[in-house]
Amino acid sequence: MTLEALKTIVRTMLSGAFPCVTIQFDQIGDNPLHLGVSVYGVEPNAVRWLKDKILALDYDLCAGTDFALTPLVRDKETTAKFYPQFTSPWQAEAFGVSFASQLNMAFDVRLGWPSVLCPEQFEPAAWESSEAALMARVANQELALAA
Amino acid sequence: MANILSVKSEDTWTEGKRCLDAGMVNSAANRIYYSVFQAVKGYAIHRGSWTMETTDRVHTDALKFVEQSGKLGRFYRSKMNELFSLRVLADYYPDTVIKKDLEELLADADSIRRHHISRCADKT
Repeated sequence: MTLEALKTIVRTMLSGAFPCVTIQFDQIGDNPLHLGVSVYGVEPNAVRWLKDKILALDYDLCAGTDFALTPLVRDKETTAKFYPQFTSPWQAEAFGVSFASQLNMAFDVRLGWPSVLCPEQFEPAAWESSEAALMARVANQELALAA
Repeated sequence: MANILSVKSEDTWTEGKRCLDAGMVNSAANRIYYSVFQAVKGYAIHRGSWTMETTDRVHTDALKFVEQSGKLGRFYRSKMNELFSLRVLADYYPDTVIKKDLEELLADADSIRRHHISRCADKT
């Protein structure tokens, strides 16, 4: 598995269940294969579920490898207070760079791009159309489970 | 041979609890995480996987060590990863760690810590 493949799987799985939140990947620490999965603008009652989902993906996809996924989930209130640029997914897209890197903190490597995942506002991204089809079906199953 | 960092881990744990009791939640998240990490590091040194000077990718590798805890492996990796996420938020991002989130992890964090201290004793 490549880093890009891992990010695609995670993005697909999460966006299937939460189509209107901002997702981006931050490098945390000195291991480029250890991703912080930053999710912004989450409904308070979904934060626990989302954390658990990312932790489960970490184990299922990364155990026994050099990869790791660490959840960095913020609810709507925290997002509005500390990350107002991520209150709406389209704003994250316009922002274009990692908030962490803008703050000149340790996480100055942006490994992914913010997912813009509101279907009523945007056309599907290219990566969603072909190889991710299977994963999208899995994500839909996850959505059903979440419901 | 005992876990060479067990005393350090105990001290760091005490610091973390004091910070939490005093309402210094970000500092508590840092200290509690490192208390667990020190126990895992001591175990990694004990089994010859790390030296005291090992610093590369240690936080990712610490997850790999705790995942090798038999039936508890998945649970321990998940909980240590969650604790690591609080420590990352505490140290590197603008938001403040939610006290309840850290409090809910304390018992499991202590369990991971004690497990990796006792694992060293088991092998002697």
